[in-house]
Amino acid sequence: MRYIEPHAHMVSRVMDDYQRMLLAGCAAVCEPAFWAGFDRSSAGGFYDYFCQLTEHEPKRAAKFGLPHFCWLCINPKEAEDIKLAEEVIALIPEFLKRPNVLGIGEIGLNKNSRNELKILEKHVDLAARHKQMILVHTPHLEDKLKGTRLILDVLASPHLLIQLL
Amino acid sequence: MDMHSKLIDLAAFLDRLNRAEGKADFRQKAFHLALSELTNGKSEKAKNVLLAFSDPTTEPLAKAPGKGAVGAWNGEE
Repeated sequence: MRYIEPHAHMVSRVMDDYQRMLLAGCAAVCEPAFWAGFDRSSAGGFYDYFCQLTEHEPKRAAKFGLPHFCWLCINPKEAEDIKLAEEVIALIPEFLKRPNVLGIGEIGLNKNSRNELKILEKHVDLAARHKQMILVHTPHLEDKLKGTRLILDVLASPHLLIQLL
Repeated sequence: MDMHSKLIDLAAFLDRLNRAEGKADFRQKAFHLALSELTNGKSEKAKNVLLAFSDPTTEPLAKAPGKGAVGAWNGEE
Protein backbone atom coordinates (compact mmCIF):
# COMPACT_ATOMS: atom_id res chain seq x y z
CA MET A 1 0.00 0.00 0.00
CA ARG A 2 1.22 3.49 -0.88
CA TYR A 3 0.36 6.34 1.47
CA ILE A 4 1.01 10.05 2.00
CA GLU A 5 2.32 10.92 5.46
CA PRO A 6 0.17 13.92 6.41
CA HIS A 7 1.92 15.03 9.59
CA ALA A 8 5.54 14.27 10.43
CA HIS A 9 8.16 16.47 12.07
CA MET A 10 11.08 15.16 10.05
CA VAL A 11 13.59 17.75 11.29
CA SER A 12 13.68 15.75 14.52
CA ARG A 13 13.99 12.39 12.73
CA VAL A 14 17.10 10.50 11.69
CA MET A 15 17.80 9.29 8.15
CA ASP A 16 16.84 5.74 9.10
CA ASP A 17 13.29 6.98 9.68
CA TYR A 18 13.08 8.14 6.06
CA GLN A 19 14.23 4.70 4.98
CA ARG A 20 11.63 2.99 7.15
CA MET A 21 8.87 5.26 5.83
CA LEU A 22 9.88 4.41 2.29
CA LEU A 23 9.85 0.67 3.03
CA ALA A 24 6.39 1.07 4.58
CA GLY A 25 5.08 2.55 1.32
CA CYS A 26 5.28 6.28 1.97
CA ALA A 27 4.93 8.26 -1.28
CA ALA A 28 5.26 11.81 0.10
CA VAL A 29 5.68 13.51 3.46
CA CYS A 30 4.05 16.70 4.81
CA GLU A 31 5.75 18.53 7.67
CA PRO A 32 4.01 21.22 9.73
CA ALA A 33 6.08 23.82 11.56
CA PHE A 34 6.17 23.08 15.28
CA TRP A 35 7.73 23.89 18.62
CA ALA A 36 11.38 22.86 18.85
CA GLY A 37 11.14 21.72 22.48
CA PHE A 38 12.45 25.07 23.65
CA ASP A 39 11.43 28.69 23.02
CA ARG A 40 13.42 30.35 20.26
CA SER A 41 14.81 33.72 21.31
CA SER A 42 14.35 35.67 18.07
CA ALA A 43 12.60 35.73 14.73
CA GLY A 44 15.97 34.91 13.18
CA GLY A 45 15.71 31.43 14.66
CA PHE A 46 12.44 30.96 12.79
CA TYR A 47 13.92 32.31 9.56
CA ASP A 48 16.52 29.57 9.73
CA TYR A 49 13.84 27.01 10.61
CA PHE A 50 11.74 28.03 7.60
CA CYS A 51 14.84 27.67 5.41
CA GLN A 52 15.37 24.24 6.91
CA LEU A 53 11.77 23.27 6.06
CA THR A 54 11.87 24.64 2.52
CA GLU A 55 15.46 23.93 1.45
CA HIS A 56 17.35 21.46 3.61
CA GLU A 57 14.64 18.96 4.55
CA PRO A 58 13.36 18.49 0.96
CA LYS A 59 16.92 17.62 -0.04
CA ARG A 60 17.20 15.11 2.78
CA ALA A 61 13.89 13.51 1.77
CA ALA A 62 14.92 13.48 -1.90
CA LYS A 63 17.83 11.19 -1.07
CA PHE A 64 15.13 8.55 -0.52
CA GLY A 65 13.02 9.65 -3.49
CA LEU A 66 10.42 11.14 -1.16
CA PRO A 67 8.71 14.41 -2.11
CA HIS A 68 8.68 16.69 0.96
CA PHE A 69 6.04 19.37 1.63
CA CYS A 70 5.67 21.72 4.59
CA TRP A 71 3.42 24.16 6.44
CA LEU A 72 4.78 27.37 7.99
CA CYS A 73 3.79 29.21 11.15
CA ILE A 74 4.79 29.95 14.71
CA ASN A 75 3.30 27.10 16.72
CA PRO A 76 0.76 28.03 19.43
CA LYS A 77 3.24 26.80 22.04
CA GLU A 78 5.35 29.88 21.24
CA ALA A 79 2.44 32.29 20.70
CA GLU A 80 2.40 33.72 24.22
CA ASP A 81 5.09 36.23 23.21
CA ILE A 82 2.98 38.44 20.92
CA LYS A 83 5.85 40.60 19.69
CA LEU A 84 7.97 37.62 18.68
CA ALA A 85 4.97 35.92 17.06
CA GLU A 86 4.16 39.00 14.99
CA GLU A 87 7.77 39.23 13.83
CA VAL A 88 7.69 35.58 12.78
CA ILE A 89 4.36 35.94 10.96
CA ALA A 90 5.83 38.88 9.04
CA LEU A 91 8.59 36.56 7.76
CA ILE A 92 6.23 33.97 6.32
CA PRO A 93 5.03 35.65 3.08
CA GLU A 94 8.47 35.52 1.46
CA PHE A 95 8.47 31.74 1.88
CA LEU A 96 4.97 31.08 0.52
CA LYS A 97 6.08 30.89 -3.12
CA ARG A 98 8.59 28.15 -2.43
CA PRO A 99 7.57 24.97 -4.25
CA ASN A 100 7.11 22.67 -1.26
CA VAL A 101 4.99 25.05 0.89
CA LEU A 102 1.40 23.86 1.35
CA GLY A 103 0.11 26.70 3.53
CA ILE A 104 -0.05 27.99 7.10
CA GLY A 105 0.24 25.48 9.93
CA GLU A 106 0.07 23.88 12.28
CA ILE A 107 -1.81 26.77 13.81
CA GLY A 108 -4.44 26.65 16.55
CA LEU A 109 -4.30 26.73 20.32
CA ASN A 110 -2.32 25.00 23.05
CA LYS A 111 -3.42 26.26 26.49
CA ASN A 112 -6.31 28.39 25.19
CA SER A 113 -4.88 31.74 26.24
CA ARG A 114 -5.84 35.17 24.92
CA ASN A 115 -2.46 35.68 23.26
CA GLU A 116 -2.69 32.30 21.55
CA LEU A 117 -6.09 33.35 20.20
CA LYS A 118 -4.72 36.66 18.90
CA ILE A 119 -1.93 34.86 17.06
CA LEU A 120 -4.33 32.28 15.66
CA GLU A 121 -6.43 35.12 14.24
CA LYS A 122 -3.32 36.69 12.70
CA HIS A 123 -2.35 33.38 11.09
CA VAL A 124 -5.83 32.87 9.64
CA ASP A 125 -5.81 36.44 8.39
CA LEU A 126 -2.42 35.84 6.76
CA ALA A 127 -3.70 32.68 5.09
CA ALA A 128 -6.83 34.45 3.82
CA ARG A 129 -4.88 37.40 2.41
CA HIS A 130 -2.47 35.08 0.58
CA LYS A 131 -5.13 32.50 -0.37
CA GLN A 132 -3.36 29.74 1.53
CA MET A 133 -4.71 26.58 3.07
CA ILE A 134 -4.42 26.18 6.85
CA LEU A 135 -3.57 23.15 8.97
CA VAL A 136 -5.14 23.34 12.44
CA HIS A 137 -3.75 21.82 15.64
CA THR A 138 -6.16 21.28 18.52
CA PRO A 139 -4.94 21.28 22.15
CA HIS A 140 -4.19 18.13 24.11
CA LEU A 141 -6.17 16.27 26.78
CA GLU A 142 -8.07 18.54 29.17
CA ASP A 143 -7.67 21.55 26.89
CA LYS A 144 -8.95 19.92 23.69
CA LEU A 145 -12.71 20.43 23.98
CA LYS A 146 -12.51 24.09 24.99
CA GLY A 147 -9.73 24.82 22.52
CA THR A 148 -11.53 23.19 19.62
CA ARG A 149 -14.62 25.29 20.33
CA LEU A 150 -12.54 28.49 20.53
CA ILE A 151 -10.80 27.65 17.25
CA LEU A 152 -14.13 27.05 15.52
CA ASP A 153 -15.34 30.41 16.87
CA VAL A 154 -12.31 32.13 15.33
CA LEU A 155 -12.85 30.43 11.97
CA ALA A 156 -16.53 31.39 12.00
CA SER A 157 -15.94 35.04 12.92
CA PRO A 158 -17.59 37.39 10.39
CA HIS A 159 -14.54 39.48 9.47
CA LEU A 160 -12.54 36.36 8.63
CA LEU A 161 -15.39 34.89 6.60
CA ILE A 162 -15.43 38.01 4.44
CA GLN A 163 -11.74 37.57 3.69
CA LEU A 164 -12.07 33.85 3.06
CA LEU A 165 -14.88 34.50 0.55
CA MET B 1 -10.09 -11.32 26.73
CA ASP B 2 -8.67 -7.98 25.69
CA MET B 3 -11.29 -6.17 27.79
CA HIS B 4 -10.62 -8.50 30.74
CA SER B 5 -6.96 -7.62 30.56
CA LYS B 6 -7.70 -3.87 30.51
CA LEU B 7 -10.09 -4.26 33.43
CA ILE B 8 -7.43 -6.06 35.49
CA ASP B 9 -4.92 -3.30 34.61
CA LEU B 10 -7.43 -0.75 35.86
CA ALA B 11 -8.11 -2.71 39.05
CA ALA B 12 -4.40 -3.04 39.74
CA PHE B 13 -3.93 0.70 39.23
CA LEU B 14 -6.72 1.42 41.74
CA ASP B 15 -5.08 -0.96 44.21
CA ARG B 16 -1.83 0.95 43.88
CA LEU B 17 -3.67 4.22 44.43
CA ASN B 18 -5.26 2.81 47.58
CA ARG B 19 -1.89 1.71 48.92
CA ALA B 20 -0.23 5.03 48.16
CA GLU B 21 0.23 7.65 50.83
CA GLY B 22 -0.31 11.38 50.42
CA LYS B 23 -3.12 13.61 49.34
CA ALA B 24 -5.07 12.93 46.16
CA ASP B 25 -4.81 15.64 43.50
CA PHE B 26 -7.32 16.92 40.97
CA ARG B 27 -6.40 14.24 38.44
CA GLN B 28 -7.47 11.48 40.81
CA LYS B 29 -10.77 13.21 41.42
CA ALA B 30 -11.38 13.47 37.67
CA PHE B 31 -10.35 9.84 37.25
CA HIS B 32 -12.93 8.65 39.76
CA LEU B 33 -15.58 10.83 38.14
CA ALA B 34 -14.72 9.19 34.81
CA LEU B 35 -14.90 5.74 36.40
CA SER B 36 -18.39 6.46 37.70
CA GLU B 37 -19.49 7.08 34.12
CA LEU B 38 -18.82 3.43 33.33
CA THR B 39 -21.45 2.09 35.68
CA ASN B 40 -24.10 4.79 36.00
CA GLY B 41 -26.42 3.29 33.40
CA LYS B 42 -26.23 6.33 31.11
CA SER B 43 -25.41 6.18 27.41
CA GLU B 44 -22.53 7.97 25.61
CA LYS B 45 -19.99 6.61 28.07
CA ALA B 46 -16.90 7.38 25.98
CA LYS B 47 -18.03 10.98 25.53
CA ASN B 48 -18.75 11.39 29.23
CA VAL B 49 -15.42 9.88 30.23
CA LEU B 50 -13.68 12.44 28.03
CA LEU B 51 -15.79 15.24 29.46
CA ALA B 52 -14.84 14.21 33.00
CA PHE B 53 -11.25 15.22 32.22
CA SER B 54 -12.03 18.32 30.14
CA ASP B 55 -11.99 22.02 30.96
CA PRO B 56 -15.71 22.98 30.87
CA THR B 57 -15.10 26.75 30.81
CA THR B 58 -15.48 28.87 27.69
CA GLU B 59 -13.37 31.99 28.30
CA PRO B 60 -9.72 32.09 27.16
CA LEU B 61 -7.09 32.19 29.90
CA ALA B 62 -5.42 35.51 30.67
CA LYS B 63 -2.04 33.81 30.25
CA ALA B 64 -0.89 30.32 29.33
CA PRO B 65 0.16 28.58 32.58
CA GLY B 66 2.87 26.60 30.79
CA LYS B 67 3.00 24.46 27.69
CA GLY B 68 1.98 20.95 28.63
CA ALA B 69 -1.35 19.30 29.35
CA VAL B 70 -1.59 17.33 32.59
CA GLY B 71 -4.45 14.96 31.86
CA ALA B 72 -7.32 16.60 33.73
CA TRP B 73 -8.74 20.05 34.29
CA ASN B 74 -7.65 21.63 37.55
CA GLY B 75 -10.67 23.69 38.50
CA GLU B 76 -8.75 25.36 41.29
CA GLU B 77 -6.25 26.85 38.85
